[in-house]
Amino acid sequence: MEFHHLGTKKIFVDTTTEPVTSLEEILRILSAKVLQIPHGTDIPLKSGEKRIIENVACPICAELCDYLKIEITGNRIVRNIGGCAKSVSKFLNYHKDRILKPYIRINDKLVEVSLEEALDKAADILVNAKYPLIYGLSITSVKTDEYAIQLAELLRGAVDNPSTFCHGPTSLAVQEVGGVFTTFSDVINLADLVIFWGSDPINSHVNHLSRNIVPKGRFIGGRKDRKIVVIDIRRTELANMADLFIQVKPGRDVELITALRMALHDLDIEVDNVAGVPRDMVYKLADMMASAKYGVIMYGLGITENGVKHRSVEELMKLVQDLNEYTKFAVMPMRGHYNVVGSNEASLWLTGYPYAVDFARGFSRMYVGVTTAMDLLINGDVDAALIVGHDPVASFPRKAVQHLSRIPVIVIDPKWSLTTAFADVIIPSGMTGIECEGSAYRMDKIPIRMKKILDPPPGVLCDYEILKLLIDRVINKKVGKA
Amino acid sequence: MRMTVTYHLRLKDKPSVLVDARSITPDSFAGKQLNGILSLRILEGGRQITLQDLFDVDGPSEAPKDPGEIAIVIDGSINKISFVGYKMSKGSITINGDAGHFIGYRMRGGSIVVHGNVRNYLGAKMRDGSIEVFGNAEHWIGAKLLGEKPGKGMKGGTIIIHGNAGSEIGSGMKSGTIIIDGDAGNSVGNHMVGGTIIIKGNCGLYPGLEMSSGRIVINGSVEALLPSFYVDSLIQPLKVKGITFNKSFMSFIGDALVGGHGLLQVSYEDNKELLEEFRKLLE
Amino acid sequence: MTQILIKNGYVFDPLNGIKGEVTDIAIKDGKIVDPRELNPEEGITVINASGKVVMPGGIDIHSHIAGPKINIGRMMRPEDHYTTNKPGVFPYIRAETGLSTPNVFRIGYEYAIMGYTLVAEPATPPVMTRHTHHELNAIPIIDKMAYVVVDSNWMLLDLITNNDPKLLAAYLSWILKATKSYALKLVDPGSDFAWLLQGRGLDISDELPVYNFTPADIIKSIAEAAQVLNLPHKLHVHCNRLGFPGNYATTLRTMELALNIHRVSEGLALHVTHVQFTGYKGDSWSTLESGGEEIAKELNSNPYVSLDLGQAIPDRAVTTMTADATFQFVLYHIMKNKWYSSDIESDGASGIVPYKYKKKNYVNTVQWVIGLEVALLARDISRVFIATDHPNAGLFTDYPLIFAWLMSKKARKIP
Ligand code: SF4
Ligand SMILES: [Zn+2]
Repeated sequence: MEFHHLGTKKIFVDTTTEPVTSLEEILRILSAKVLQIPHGTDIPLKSGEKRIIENVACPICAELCDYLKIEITGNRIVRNIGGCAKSVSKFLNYHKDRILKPYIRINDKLVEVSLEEALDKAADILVNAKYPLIYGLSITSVKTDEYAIQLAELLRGAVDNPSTFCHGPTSLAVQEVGGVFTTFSDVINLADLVIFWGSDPINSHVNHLSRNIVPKGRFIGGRKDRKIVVIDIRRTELANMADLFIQVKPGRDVELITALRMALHDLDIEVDNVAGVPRDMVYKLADMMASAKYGVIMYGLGITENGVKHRSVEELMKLVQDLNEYTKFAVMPMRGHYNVVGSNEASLWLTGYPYAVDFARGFSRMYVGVTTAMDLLINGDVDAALIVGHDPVASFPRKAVQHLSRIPVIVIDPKWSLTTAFADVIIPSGMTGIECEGSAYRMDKIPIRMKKILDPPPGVLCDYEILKLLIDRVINKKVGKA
Repeated sequence: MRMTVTYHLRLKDKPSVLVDARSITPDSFAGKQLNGILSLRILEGGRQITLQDLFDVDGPSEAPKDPGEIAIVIDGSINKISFVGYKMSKGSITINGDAGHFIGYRMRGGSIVVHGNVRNYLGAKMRDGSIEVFGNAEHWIGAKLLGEKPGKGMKGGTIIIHGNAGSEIGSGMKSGTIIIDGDAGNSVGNHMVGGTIIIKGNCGLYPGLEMSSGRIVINGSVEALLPSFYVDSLIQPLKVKGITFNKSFMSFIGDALVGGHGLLQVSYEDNKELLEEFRKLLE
Repeated sequence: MTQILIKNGYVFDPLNGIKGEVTDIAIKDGKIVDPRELNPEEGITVINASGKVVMPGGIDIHSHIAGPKINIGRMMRPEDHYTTNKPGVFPYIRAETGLSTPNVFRIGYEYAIMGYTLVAEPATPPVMTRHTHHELNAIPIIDKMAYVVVDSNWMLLDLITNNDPKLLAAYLSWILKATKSYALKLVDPGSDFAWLLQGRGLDISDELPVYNFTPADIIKSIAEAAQVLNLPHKLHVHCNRLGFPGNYATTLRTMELALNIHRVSEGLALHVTHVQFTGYKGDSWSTLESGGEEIAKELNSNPYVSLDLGQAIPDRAVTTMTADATFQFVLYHIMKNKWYSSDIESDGASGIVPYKYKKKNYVNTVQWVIGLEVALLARDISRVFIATDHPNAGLFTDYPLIFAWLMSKKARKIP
């Protein structure tokens, strides 16, 4: 999982029954290929004129704080005002460990090549593949997502984004029953009850509380006018700040959701204890929810990746739908990567499905368990991979990583990563939100403009420009073949 | 008397990517010359190939017009070959080896036997016929697709798995029977509106979630039950679809949240701890 | 320089009164010119249109083709995509999917095939318009534009309270510019604000919570601001009480407002959209009648309004989606299936519910009648637009059906 998921300190955050790959294992698996990352590849910093750029959006988590003040001298970022610690570190270290030149692997060695050569080799790999997978996205702009999907369609391959591991179940639940959603502004101005369920913004979305919970809204005072409830498997730091903490048995949240729905439907709850929560507490919580003026459940991986996954989220959606018979109530999925929502959205308008889309038959299809990146990789169902702005080797289970080591892999990324150690072709890209502009979607689906505040290193293009060139090349090669 | 002809398909090279072999059904073989069968279209990943690119085929030079007279035997299949038996109406398919996703998808009749493991969506949305798997099966057996209404899953026929099976078995099923000899995963029979699911082994979380009708029998242990199922009675022995289980079962009615009257029957002996509270309620 | 000559088609041009004359149309650098102005030496692309109709591209004034709502519709209805696919053709024709929630490619291709060249997305909340433009940009071939929803915007409600029409006009002008939208849209004016605070809707003369004015005041203030700004399409109004029996009275009162506002610019003052949904007479679903006749009468006597039909299509599975969150909540209770609702950054709210119109359903039949009745009774058809409020009352691909119903009594006979 990504940093912000690790941050939730959940014991039961299991995306798979497979053990996660350790670095040693990776090295062992890699024995066929040489793990080789050039040293000292920082962008040389030059001092110069001082500039302050305001209202910069932070390209890290889906909180997408868009009020940062970034101070730059020359090409050095010296200050980030408004960003959390993660944000400060990302901005101030943007120049470190950068891929500055394209590479291809020849006889187990990475060889520096021109962009033309790298693109040509990449196009060859993709055109010769029977069923390539394009994975990543969501740490880039929607424009990049659009090109990546077009490429998958041209290649009749599959394309997936990381929601496949975190909030994919949210999409599946919406497919089944819909849902009731809200946005930050409504929370700030109206919400008098906020329930954090299986989510821990203190660690995952650091600015979330100060931005949405603490401020005074138009129809509500600040923190003192909002009741905060935390439902989690253990007492988190957030739980200590809450008005009510409810500890639920790991993976058993659905029982509590069901019991709450039963309370709202005036159905008897026969058992004394639901998922570790006493029956009286269930009634108390149900009452609290139904009598709120505007309630919001902010849920995280504790719901989506636990127990019955998408069925848990489905029941949660039903719960808020039921609550709307009494009052105003909504959910807010605490999504991870800064543009994972955008990759879902772009995928929807182009293909009709939010993620895990396959084009084998020339049109889009999505079958969970079949066209999902994890299933395709673990079972070795694809024969080439293009990874855009992601490091799957660092987060995928061993079997998936093993398969990646066996097939040709192309990586488009601004920074060196474990995945680049595998790659047969590496093409450097600019960092979206710092060196490349575009749109990203906040966790509540609000589109935010990502600014370009610095030029990319010399010769380095933005990922959408690279994909566009790759698309042209793939078309030419396929036409040539036919 | 009806004659049955057999086509033997032997896998040549193992494909390296998912294969869509929906043309392997008695229906698409029926009435075709052998040449026509050999050139049936198959998708290897996103590439169009023909049946003969993938398989050596032995069989009569002309197939009968009635698919009911056709038996297809596939040897050496691997878990990438998917969609075999798609919409088949009659006849039989035997797979000696593993099989991929969507085996018997939207099947309308006839029989499929797999001597190996299968992957997801086995017999999903099937209407009739029978499927028997001697190995394990993964998720979404006899299920509806996501987003479809309850009742759009399996509408009839029988699926028997002799090994273990995954989650979402019989999701949204309307009728028919699913029998799992081994263990099953989570949310068995969710959104069921009819039909019968029998799990002879153990079962994961929340069988019957949002079921409105139908019957689920679990002969082993259950990881957890939903509070929206109301205990009804203790019975012994339990008879279902010609099978008799000679031990006591606790019957629940649910899922109350959808006003359901589905029957969920769970082995009492294998779940004493979990069911103790309900036994007290019965007294 | 491109020069095109379209030869021998039956030419229709309502503005110039040309009705089916067989003649040639010449195009030079994107403009229609006298055929004599074409220069044969520079090369002319000749299109033989004999036996075919040549007409100006169709304009769809109200079709939900882009933005957060339709995209959530796509997410919510995978079953609309499983069996409605058409593969792409390498390399430039993209794969199509979806009927009531089509992907961007199907939208562009199908409109082009029907001869439409300009389509308006009728409801985009200001803060979401960046998203709407992403989708509009992705729709191939046709021209697109968007109307921005302004009725429940808090800043705007404050400006109405302060009674400062100049500042209000300036603010609206800024919103249009900032969101790159073409026109202003009111959806069930004021109701989303009431929904947000109290989970209920408003009639045209109910007072808003917090503010002491009514939806009628909102319509009037914004319509007058649109006069000051001299917008080409002044104000697009989805009336209050949409979807409730008896609402035709609200619609009539909304239309009457066009007569009472201070008009300082030319043309129409109000456009009332999808009148089918707001043309219900009777006090309950069982006593439902068509208010089409009354609406047509008002249209005939009131020269400042135009309308579109929101024509219902029998036996059509649709996905209803409006910024009218209140109505969608009601619909969810009728359908008892899926329901999606979202409050959007205090600008408004929206809802989505799958629905199917049935020939045998009394209410649906009345709905079918309303649209046709309005269109057939209208005297000035240039103020009546054909639309289904896609994908609410029918799909835009159903338009040929509506043309047939309007032109032929025989076609109107439902078997
Ligand atoms: S909370 Fe997230 S978006 Fe905001 S500054 Fe921190 S990392 Fe960036
Ligand atoms: Zn509309």
